Amino acid sequence: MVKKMIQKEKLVEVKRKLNYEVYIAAILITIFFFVAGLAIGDYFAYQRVDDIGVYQKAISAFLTLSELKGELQANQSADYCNLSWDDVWKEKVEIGRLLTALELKLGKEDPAILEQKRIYNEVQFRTYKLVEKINENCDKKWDIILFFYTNKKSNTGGDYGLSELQGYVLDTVYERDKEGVKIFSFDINLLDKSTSELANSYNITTAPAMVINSKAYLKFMNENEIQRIFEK
Amino acid sequence: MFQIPIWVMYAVFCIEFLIAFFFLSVFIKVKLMKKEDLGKVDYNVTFVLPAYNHSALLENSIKSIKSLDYQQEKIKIIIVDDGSTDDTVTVMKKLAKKYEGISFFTKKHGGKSAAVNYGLERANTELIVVLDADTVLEKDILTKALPMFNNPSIAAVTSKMRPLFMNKFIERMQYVEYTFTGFYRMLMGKIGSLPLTPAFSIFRKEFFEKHGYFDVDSMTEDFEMGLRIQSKHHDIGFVHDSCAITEVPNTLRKFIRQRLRWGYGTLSSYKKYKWMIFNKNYGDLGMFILPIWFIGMLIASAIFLLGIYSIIENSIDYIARLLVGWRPSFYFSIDNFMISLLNLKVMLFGISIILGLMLFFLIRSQLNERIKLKDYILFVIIYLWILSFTSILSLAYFLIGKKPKW
Repeated sequence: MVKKMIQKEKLVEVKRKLNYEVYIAAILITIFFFVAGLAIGDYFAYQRVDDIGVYQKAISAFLTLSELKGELQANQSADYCNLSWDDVWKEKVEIGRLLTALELKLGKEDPAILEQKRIYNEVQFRTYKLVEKINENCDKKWDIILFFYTNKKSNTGGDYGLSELQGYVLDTVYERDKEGVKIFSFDINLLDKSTSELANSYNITTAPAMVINSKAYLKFMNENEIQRIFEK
Repeated sequence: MFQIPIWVMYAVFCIEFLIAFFFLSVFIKVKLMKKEDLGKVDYNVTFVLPAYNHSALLENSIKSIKSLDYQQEKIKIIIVDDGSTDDTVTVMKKLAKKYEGISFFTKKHGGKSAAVNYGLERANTELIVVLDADTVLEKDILTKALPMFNNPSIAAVTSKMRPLFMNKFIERMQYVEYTFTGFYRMLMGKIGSLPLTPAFSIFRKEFFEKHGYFDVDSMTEDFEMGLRIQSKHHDIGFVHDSCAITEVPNTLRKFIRQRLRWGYGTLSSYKKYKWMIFNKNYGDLGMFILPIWFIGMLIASAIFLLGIYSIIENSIDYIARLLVGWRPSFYFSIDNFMISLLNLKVMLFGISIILGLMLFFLIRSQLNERIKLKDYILFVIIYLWILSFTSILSLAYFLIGKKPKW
């Protein structure tokens, strides 16, 4: 094949055009990744929310059974003391952690999350009542903390930043003595009838606030202060 | 405390994906196109080498020109000494005696563009190569580049670059950067949207005669010239399979000073040719490349500022927690880990990493460069932060109207 030889040709202007197909491809692929990411993430996250619902039902059933036993055998404290309790407690702690993680994923205002938190509050309240009874009747000497926090950054009902910080402090308190400390956390903006009554009985209207071994502390407390209260 | 809105992060991912998929789509389109036979060439070429205190590397540049796989009788060389204070003039004279076809001139120091223009005025071939005196060429670069001038819309041709030395961290990082930008420039060249003519570029003399020489006031005369060529509706070709090898800054201080000049010069050129931005008459360059380049510079600056802010904010939070008795615990739950993976920003971040790795392997193979994966990882983790820092520095200098010193 004879190769062409084009030389000393005058410089010519070129008319530009847009490569529309390239833009369409780039936009479609970008949208695909965003939509797929959202859809996959939400699908699996809502599955986990459903799982939490199942776990909570199981805990509720356990609590109902325990409460029933307590009512039927009010004077036989031994039944409380012999409850196979550890697994249920661990499950409750795990559900709390899962709910926190799912809150981050789906948002604090997500209806499914709010519904599970409402059930969780109820579970916590009933667990708290049970723990109180076990503490009284079984010579357990657990330190019990009720923690009231706010999740609203607008600081409605309390200080969001301090609530978060108090949460971290209580994580450490729990980690130091997992067997001896029982912590129950309540979002002050999501209180139901029973937990409202509980808060009112200690005059709690703002967050962060704690009830440590039946005494209310309406302020932020560091780890040392909490440990000193335990020692009393 | 102020929280970075989540939409900012999504906007950054969105722009990043659009850029990546735009170029990947261009790449696929180019691959599907038929290869053009550009034909044979017989051009006379003049090399113009501006030299300012380049005595150490000048001979290497001349040697590389003399070793090119092209008819040496068609090549002339003009060296312009820009008022050097070292022994560049002596070296120049020695080289003119040693090799044929070299003429040299000495002028008062006036900057690189003025020295290049001095040489351009004295060149009388149809094609002129502007080559930094610290740059050497691969043997086949002219045989790969010159046939592109058989296309009459081509006003200039440039090539991929590689650092001369790659011993230091900062040099290796620039190697990764040059390889990546080489890939993007190749694609920009294919769609007629390449807007710059760096350390090694070949020009038609006709263009200079019609539209003037290099802008002596510009800090990035190569970008200004690239935009000028594009503004006159001509093309710039790109050679991806041969290379110009140049000296790059080998200390962080030198590097930051260079990038500050480049950033300032880029913004000044943007200002000068702002009418090309979002102008359909300039095709993909006007509608995508120029806007995204500018937005990229703003994003890099914003990421740097937000990143620094975020590090400070998290450090304060962390210290505050430690002060009230919190101690980090190493709790791990597979459930929580999976849930955190399901977060959109985590998934997009994951896709970015996969995309980055795909581009790394694609670019390495397409440009036949030996960049190491380890260097690419360091490039992403460390070097991009340095680049972002230089972006914000340039932006600040430009906004307050302070011209960086050489």
